[in-house]
Amino acid sequence: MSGALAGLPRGAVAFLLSVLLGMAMISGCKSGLQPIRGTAIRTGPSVDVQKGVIFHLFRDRGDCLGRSEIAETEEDLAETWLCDPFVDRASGQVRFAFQTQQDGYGYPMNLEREDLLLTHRLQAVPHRNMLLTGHKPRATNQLFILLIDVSGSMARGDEGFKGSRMDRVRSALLRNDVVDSFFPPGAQTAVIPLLFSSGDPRQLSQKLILSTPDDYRAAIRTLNVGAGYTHLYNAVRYATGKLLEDKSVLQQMEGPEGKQPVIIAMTDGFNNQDDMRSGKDICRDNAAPDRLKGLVNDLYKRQRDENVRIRPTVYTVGIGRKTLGRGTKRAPNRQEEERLLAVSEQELCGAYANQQVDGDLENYGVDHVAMEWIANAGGGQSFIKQDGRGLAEAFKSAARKKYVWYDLYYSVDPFHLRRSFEVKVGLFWQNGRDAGRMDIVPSGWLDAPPGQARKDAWVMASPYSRTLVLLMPMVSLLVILSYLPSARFNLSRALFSRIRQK
Amino acid sequence: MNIYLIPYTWMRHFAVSCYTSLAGLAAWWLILTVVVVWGPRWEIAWDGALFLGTISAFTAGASLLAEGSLQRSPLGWRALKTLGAGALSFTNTVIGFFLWTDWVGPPIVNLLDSEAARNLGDASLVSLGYRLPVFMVAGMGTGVATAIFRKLAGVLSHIGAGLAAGISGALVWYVLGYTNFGLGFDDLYLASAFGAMTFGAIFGLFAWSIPDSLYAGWLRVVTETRFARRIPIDGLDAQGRERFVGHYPRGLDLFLAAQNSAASKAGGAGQDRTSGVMELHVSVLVDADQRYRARGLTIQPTRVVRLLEKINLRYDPRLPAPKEVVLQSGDRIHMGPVDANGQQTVVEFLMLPREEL
Repeated sequence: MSGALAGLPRGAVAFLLSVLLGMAMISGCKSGLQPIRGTAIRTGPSVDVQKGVIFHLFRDRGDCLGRSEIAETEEDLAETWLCDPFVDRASGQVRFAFQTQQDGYGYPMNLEREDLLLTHRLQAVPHRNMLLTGHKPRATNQLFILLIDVSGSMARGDEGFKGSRMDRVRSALLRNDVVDSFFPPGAQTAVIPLLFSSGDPRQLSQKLILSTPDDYRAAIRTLNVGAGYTHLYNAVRYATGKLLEDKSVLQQMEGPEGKQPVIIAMTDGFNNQDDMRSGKDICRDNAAPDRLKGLVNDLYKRQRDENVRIRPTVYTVGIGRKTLGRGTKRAPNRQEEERLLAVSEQELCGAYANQQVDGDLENYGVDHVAMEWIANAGGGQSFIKQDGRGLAEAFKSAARKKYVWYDLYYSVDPFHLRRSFEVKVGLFWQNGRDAGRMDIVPSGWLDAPPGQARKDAWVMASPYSRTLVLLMPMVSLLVILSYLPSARFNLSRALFSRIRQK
Repeated sequence: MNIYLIPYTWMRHFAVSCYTSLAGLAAWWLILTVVVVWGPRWEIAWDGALFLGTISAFTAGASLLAEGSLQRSPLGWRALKTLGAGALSFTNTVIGFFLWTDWVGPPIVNLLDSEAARNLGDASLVSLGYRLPVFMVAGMGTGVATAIFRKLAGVLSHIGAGLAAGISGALVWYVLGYTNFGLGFDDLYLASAFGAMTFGAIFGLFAWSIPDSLYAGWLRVVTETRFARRIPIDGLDAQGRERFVGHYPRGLDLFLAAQNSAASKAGGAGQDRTSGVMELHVSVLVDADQRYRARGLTIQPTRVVRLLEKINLRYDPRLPAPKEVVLQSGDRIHMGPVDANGQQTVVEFLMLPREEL
């Protein structure tokens, strides 16, 4: 040992220590990164746009707990662990939480993943690779505009279901849970039920705007089948245009407590106007610029135009089954802008392009492709349901709640998590103008234990104790290996009778 | 570590490796615990320096501790050497790390590609190309520190072992954690654990092997008469020795009966009861370099038997000196002819811990 010390004199020790300290000082310049406990990641400061509605990304749980509206009760506190960003390189999943704010205060919004524009290192993440979960629901002031198809086909029944299609719609709309979702406590809502077949939609009841559950129930009870064609596109165009310009309706949407318009269009078949030169509509006619293509373009532009003040959300509900064997299995989503706005005959109709709608194609099922197309352009969702319960669920989904904060999971190729990255999230319709962003910096050297998959295949952080699952077997293996030579030696000697006499 | 648990076989070379591998694993777990439980409270630029420095320190310490344990050096010295080597190794690695990433690496890499120079400075980037040099620096730091505490004995082999450890550790760390290789791990959890273990294992394997001086040669009787009787070849000093085996009744190191017991028990008239072991049958000697040799001293049959090899040591009167052969642990020396019962006098040569002397 004296030789070893001679090889390392005191001067050298002092020199090495001073170099080490110097390095610590040089490398200690603050990068402003915050470590996240339970993970091997750090986060940079959350950067918000300075005016209007903004997305504020939570840097860690402390950031979340600092906001009184988020952690009001014990139950709220139990959910705040989701505020810690989480990166699971093994599955390529990232989670972070955010809050929509206005002027520094929480501004609850009702968001679906389709409403978001999320970028990972400046690359847009497809909506199908996201999972958005709202926390702390708040009732929203909404104005529901129900567009109900009263064409002759609604009087038909379907095998296996009681009553006509109209009967099922009526009973679904009268269910208590549906009425409760249209008139939630603590929110100002109203319903405008409109009937459509040919021409512009008409009022169901004398009062255009129904503000109480009793008025609503009374009106819906009178719902009955009429006659005529199915001018679905016209009806949606009317509800998103002329109707919203009506003074009484406009009044509902004005002011800070103004109601947000939500249009729910329901039909059991195809758009059928029979006003083309050929006389009878065929499927390809519906792709024309003055029909679906025009409607979709109008809806989409209205959602994206920052000068438009009122942006109705359009939901579509099909009563029946999908018409299978169509050109496309699903309509283009909002991220496929070019295809969404082009509305090609091939994608809309496929092999049915030249098939007549009236009396032929409408008997196969609902025009689910067109309905999805409308909903995607209108910022809503599309549902195809046959039974009363399914219809009720669809109506309830349209009556969305606002949430105080959200957590968002998304997945990318794990390769893209092999260095620090910026996440940026904002409203899709705003093209990211209101986006908040944050740097997430995973360790370049090691990772915490991989996440545990939930039932829905998204993962959550594993407890630290899971490291023992690796550590203990490896330690045991190495200890066993260290005993292996002597065990093998003794065994071979025993087998060859070197230890005991024959 | 205990020399009694490490038999003198080829597997003894892996004993220290196992130990240092365990140290690498412990280092990984320690740094992971600090990161996950308390959060990495240091600057991100220190991530790699602390990760590699900890592995390096644990590996160097374990190597010195293993040596001290096997040689039964005093506990205080053992602890001091372990901690000293660990601290020096850590310091070497951290200094080397920042020398490369901040001063030496960027100008060199910049000559090739300015983008690459930026990548080199990105502490969060997972890349073999940019990280291999620092793994090698960590290996060299470990090698130099342990060599200093071994009085600079085998300094080049220590540095070579460190480089090998750094390169192999980096390869395992990267390959196991690289998505496109499809080896099942797409993150740096298992990859960092196995990388640290590999670093320790390779360093332990090549830097310092258990010296033969910790063992001594023994002769042990394997046949029924005097079964398991054994004598050491070495003395307590490191001088050469020669031990004689035969049935000369007085003054021999290992007495073997001239008659074998099985024949005696049978006792049949006219039956040959001699074992064929002569008064001075064979001698085993050790020189100052601890090489063991067997010499055949009689014209009676004498053979050294080992796997796939039989060496005849029967004395040839025409030769000026007896035949001799270098012995290996586990060799058997067959003396005299095979008797009517198929028995023969056999002793074996074994290397056992010197502590047994």
